[in-house]
Amino acid sequence: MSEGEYKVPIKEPIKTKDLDPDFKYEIADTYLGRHITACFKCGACTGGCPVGILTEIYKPRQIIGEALLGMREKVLTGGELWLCATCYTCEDRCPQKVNITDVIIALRNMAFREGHTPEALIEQARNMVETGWIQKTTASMDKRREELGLSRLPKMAVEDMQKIVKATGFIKYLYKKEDKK
Amino acid sequence: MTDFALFPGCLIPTRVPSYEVSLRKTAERLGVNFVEMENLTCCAPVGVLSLDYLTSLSLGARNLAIVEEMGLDTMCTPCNGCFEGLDRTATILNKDPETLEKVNEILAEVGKEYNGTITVRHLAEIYYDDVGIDKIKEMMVKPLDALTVGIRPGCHLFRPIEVIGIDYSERYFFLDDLIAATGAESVYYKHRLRCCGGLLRNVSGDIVEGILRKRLIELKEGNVDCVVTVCPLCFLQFDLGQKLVERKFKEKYDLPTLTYSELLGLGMGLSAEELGLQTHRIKVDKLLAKIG
Repeated sequence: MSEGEYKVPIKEPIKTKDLDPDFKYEIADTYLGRHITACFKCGACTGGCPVGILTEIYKPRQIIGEALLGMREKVLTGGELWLCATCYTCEDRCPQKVNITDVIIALRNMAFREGHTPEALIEQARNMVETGWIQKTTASMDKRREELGLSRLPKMAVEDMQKIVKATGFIKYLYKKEDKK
Repeated sequence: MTDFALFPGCLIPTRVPSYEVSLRKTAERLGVNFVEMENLTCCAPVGVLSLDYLTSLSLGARNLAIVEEMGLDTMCTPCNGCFEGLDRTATILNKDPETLEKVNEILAEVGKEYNGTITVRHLAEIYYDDVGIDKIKEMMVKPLDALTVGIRPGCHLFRPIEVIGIDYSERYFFLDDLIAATGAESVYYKHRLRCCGGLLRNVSGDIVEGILRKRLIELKEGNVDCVVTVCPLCFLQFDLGQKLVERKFKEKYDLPTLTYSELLGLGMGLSAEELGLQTHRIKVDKLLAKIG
């Protein structure tokens, strides 16, 4: 292969002074991320990933690798985390039982608390807290249900839900950018 | 057969009412007794788990506590999202007293307590394990032998393996037996247990439609008459989503999608109208003609 044919872009070198060596332990300290340090970066996860096959941006091995290296900023703010479709194929195929999807979810929890979550997911969660339904509901849904002989949509326990999200501290992160609800 | 507390979730009642109609009508005929649950909260699925672990467990546990209050020990949900969320919650809390205590501290705020006694099961498991293949065969009045079917079990019916309690997910699958019980043939097509991308719908339309298109092409190559799923999100992907893919890539698939309950209903002699199949975006007329 001649030099010109090499297509993979050369990345900026990773500087050790930018790394947070404790990041992996922070992840390993969570229930979902507890197996991260078992990863030996074989790539079975990326090989079976239905998203990774379509886009260069999301490769599970890369995210786990960056997390292990301590690239805290890049992992939590880069947005790649949110492209996992949570099909759990990687967990199934991982020879080290890293529970990769769970690690991704643990990382998402951290990113959420630091304010780096796609707006669509925030909106969905707010909809859940405010109406009880994670899906937006409309009057036409009740009409259609009636036509099919189904009862109206049930009433959700919105008040209880709000007490719970308050007790877990969830609500504080969900509305942190704007005025308090 | 024991009574089941029915947790219908949000996607089925709001977006896929034909699934609800068919599951209720078939359950009645199969002797499955669902007890309605009231005063529920969201199941807090992956979308919520992704933001906050403890919130997801707590909201899930509140729903499980309601099943305990009803004096039942099993919750049945027809939704893969709810199944993943609630089964995970039950699997963790039923064997981890420390986390259970933490969750119960939160539930105390709403006057509830979960004692770790509930098993969460997917509707498909109830069909297979409790109703059984023989009973389903017995109930079929209209042979569906002419149909070839591509299954879409929906990832969360059999993954994560740690929560489901199996060694490996990509093997023989009980949904095939359920399809065979109706007389239809479940075709082995490429990547049939792979993700449809549905949960990325809110995050990246391009990726979702790319994944879905791959699945549609594979189904077409498998020469199936229709897609059959037990997951409402798969249903929305292959029904409404199929339309979006067709428009975006200027292609035509015209692949009707049924939920397993709807297929069962057709085999039991229920009409398409009774099952609410007119609410599907991809018309099922071709399919009905084939069944006769």
